[in-house]
Amino acid sequence: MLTSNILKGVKKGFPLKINAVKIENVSVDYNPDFITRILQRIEYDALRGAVIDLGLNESLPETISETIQQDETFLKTMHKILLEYEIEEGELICPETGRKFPISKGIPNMLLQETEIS
Amino acid sequence: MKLKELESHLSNVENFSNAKEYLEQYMTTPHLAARMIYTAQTQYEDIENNLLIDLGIGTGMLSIASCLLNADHVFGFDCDPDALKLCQSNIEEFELESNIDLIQADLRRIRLPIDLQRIKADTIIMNPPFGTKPFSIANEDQDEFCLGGIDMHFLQHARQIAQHSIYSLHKTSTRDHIYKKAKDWNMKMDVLAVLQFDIAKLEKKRPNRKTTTTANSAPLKAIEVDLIRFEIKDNMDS
Repeated sequence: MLTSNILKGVKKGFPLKINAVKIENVSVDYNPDFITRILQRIEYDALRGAVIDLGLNESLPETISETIQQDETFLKTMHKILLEYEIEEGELICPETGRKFPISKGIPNMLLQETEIS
Repeated sequence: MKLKELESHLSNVENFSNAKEYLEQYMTTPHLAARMIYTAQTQYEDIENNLLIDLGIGTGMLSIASCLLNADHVFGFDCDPDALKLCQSNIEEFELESNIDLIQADLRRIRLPIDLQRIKADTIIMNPPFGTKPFSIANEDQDEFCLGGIDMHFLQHARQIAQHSIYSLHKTSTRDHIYKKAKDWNMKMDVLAVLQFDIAKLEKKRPNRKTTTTANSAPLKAIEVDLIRFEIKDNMDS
């Protein structure tokens, strides 16, 4: 789920919406230092929105404070969301233009389709 | 991990079986990749615990090398679905599925599909095409694509998404031009090494490929290539 958080379709672009058709659950070794570092780089609100959109059974607080960023439970939830949910098939949708970017075998395809070029 | 050990691991990265000439596809050699990434880490600490982006990930060689030296995470971009498939397979071979994420995008376009408000990589790594092979685009598209100096275009992308440093390869013959651009773009530039590239030979390094040249392609001479490290001077740029 980490990738979808950094991509966007157009210049201004609000966070891309995610539609998942196939989500795989994988098991990844927990590394709290990595999660702490990556937390500084992602947009938390967008991630939380994506989690809600996908209907994942994870609860994330609305805002994150300094203290919660050191909370083990929170970090473990972030770990699970960022690394252990793999969107294998689905699409990213630009809320501005409605343009859809398919996700196939876990790889988002940001190439413009033939029909959109003209 | 020692340099020799790293290079040895990288020898397990599988090469293209049908490299596309028009995309200038060839595998960055384990020898070069090991030295590039090992230097980036030992001399500059630009790899371990860093967030990386690989522009034109190809076989995944540079990204895999980086993960072996403990990069936090790598986002790799490539336009070719066959390259991405090969890359995916190499990533699985090294069990780095949770460390490297792939995105299919055309880097020849003016804009990258990345939200710069949301993410900037610490370090960019790349072995960009040099533009030795022509590529054709439909007329309607020309505004959206960069037409000349494709490696400079990759560098321009890298400049926009790098927080700290960029490692790239460019023809030695263009060095002065690149120094000027680096200055314009507020980057410090260091040539770390000069190498000999025999692209035609690299492209032929596949077991089932005949060694005779095809009728319509003249054999390429060896070209001199600079391994360059760029450092972003102004971190206030968005």
